[in-house]
Amino acid sequence: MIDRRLDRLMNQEIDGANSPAESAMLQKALETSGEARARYESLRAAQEILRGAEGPAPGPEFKDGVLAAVRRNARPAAPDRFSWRPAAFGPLRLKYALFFGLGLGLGLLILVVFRNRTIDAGFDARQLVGTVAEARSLRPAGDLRFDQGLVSQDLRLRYGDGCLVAEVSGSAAGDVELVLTFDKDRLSFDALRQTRGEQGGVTIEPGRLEIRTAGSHGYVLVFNVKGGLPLALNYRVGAGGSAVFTRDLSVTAEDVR
Amino acid sequence: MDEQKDLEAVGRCLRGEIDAFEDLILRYQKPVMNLAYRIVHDPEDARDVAQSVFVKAFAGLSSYDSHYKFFSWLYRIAINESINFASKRRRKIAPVDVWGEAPSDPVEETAHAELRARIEAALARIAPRQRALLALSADGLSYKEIGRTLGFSETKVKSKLFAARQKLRGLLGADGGVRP
Repeated sequence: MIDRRLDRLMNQEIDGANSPAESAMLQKALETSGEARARYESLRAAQEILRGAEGPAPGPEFKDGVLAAVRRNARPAAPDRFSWRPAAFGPLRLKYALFFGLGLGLGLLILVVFRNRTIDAGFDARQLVGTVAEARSLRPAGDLRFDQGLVSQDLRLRYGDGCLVAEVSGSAAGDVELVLTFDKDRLSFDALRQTRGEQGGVTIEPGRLEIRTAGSHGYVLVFNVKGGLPLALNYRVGAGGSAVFTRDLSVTAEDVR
Repeated sequence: MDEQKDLEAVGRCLRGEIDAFEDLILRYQKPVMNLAYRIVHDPEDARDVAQSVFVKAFAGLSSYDSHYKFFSWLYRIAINESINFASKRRRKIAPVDVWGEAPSDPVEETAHAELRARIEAALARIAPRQRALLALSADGLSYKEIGRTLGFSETKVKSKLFAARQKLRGLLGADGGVRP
C-alpha cells in the first residue's frame, strides 16, 4: 500500500522538486516496495514520453505560411487606436463609428434641451459654475430680504477675486421686472444662470441688467469688477411699469465680511 | 542575448516591418510546435496550432509587455491555443507513433513498447489542461514557472500536477502500467 506522502515524494522527484533528504527517503522506499517501484516507473515513463515527444519539423514552408497569414489576416500590430483611415471602416470599426455618432447626437440633443431651459440673450454663456469655482475667496457682501405679499425677494451678494456675484430668488403673483443698475466703468456683466422658474427675458445694456419674470424664480448673476471697493449698485423690483421696491445695494469695504 | 534580439524584432514589427517577425518565428517555431504537439497529439494539428499561435502573437504584439521574456508570453499563447484547440476537437486523439527511444534488448523493447502504448493512450484520454500541465513539467519548468505561465500559485500547480498524474495512473491501472 502506497501512502499519500510517498506519492507526493514521487511526484516531486519527477518534477525535480525534492530536497536531498526527501530523495533519499524515496530511494529507500523504492528499494523495499515493488509496488512503489512500479508506480514510480510509470510516472517517470510518462514524463519521459512527454519529454521525448517532438512535434513535426517546421521546415521553411512553416515560416512562409505564417508570414503569409500574418500579411493576409493581421494588420501591423501598432498600438490599437481608433483611426478614421478608410481601412478602419471594417464591420467592427463601423460599429464604433455608429456608437460615436449616436453619442454625438445625444450630446447635441441634451445641449439643445439644456439651452432651452436657460435664458439666452446674447451674453457670455460661459458656465457659471466654472466662473464661481475660480473665485475661491468670495465673501458675503450684503443681503436683502423683503416680502410685500404679491412680491417677495431674497438677494445675496458675494464679492472677491475681481468679481461680484448676486444670487436672486423670490416669487411674484404676476409679471415682475428685476432691474440692476450699476457703474458701467466699474462693473461689467459676465454670466447668468437661471436656477429656478419659467423662462423669462433678459435685457443687458452697459450699466443695466433687466430680468422679466413671473412666479417663483431664481438667478445667479456674475459681474466682473474693475478696481476695488466701493461699488455703486442699485436694485429695483417693478410690476406693470411701476416700482414696487427700490434699494441701494452699493458695496463698501465694511460690507464685505 | 536572444531577449535583446526579441525586443528589437518586436520593436520593428510594431513599426510595421512584418519581415522582422521572421526572426521570432525561426527562433521559436520548434519549441512552440513541440508544445502544441504534446497537448494536441497530432502532427498536422500541432502545425496548425503553431501557425495560429504566431499569427495571434503578431496581432497582439502591442499588448506584449517588454518587462517579461517574449518567449514566456509566446509560450502562454501557445498553451492557451493548444488547450482551446484540444478542448474543441471532438474526435478521439490517436496515440502518436514515435515517442522516445526504445531499448535495444528485444524482450525489454517489447515491454517498453507495450508500456509506451498504454501511457500514450492514457495521455490522450486526460483533459487538455492536465496534458498541458504535464507537458510543461516535462519541459523542465519549475512549479513557479508553470504557475506564472498558467496563472496559478505554486501550491495549486503542485496539487493539479498531482491530480493529473493520479488520473493518468487511474487510466493505466493499479500497477501504473509497470508490473512490479
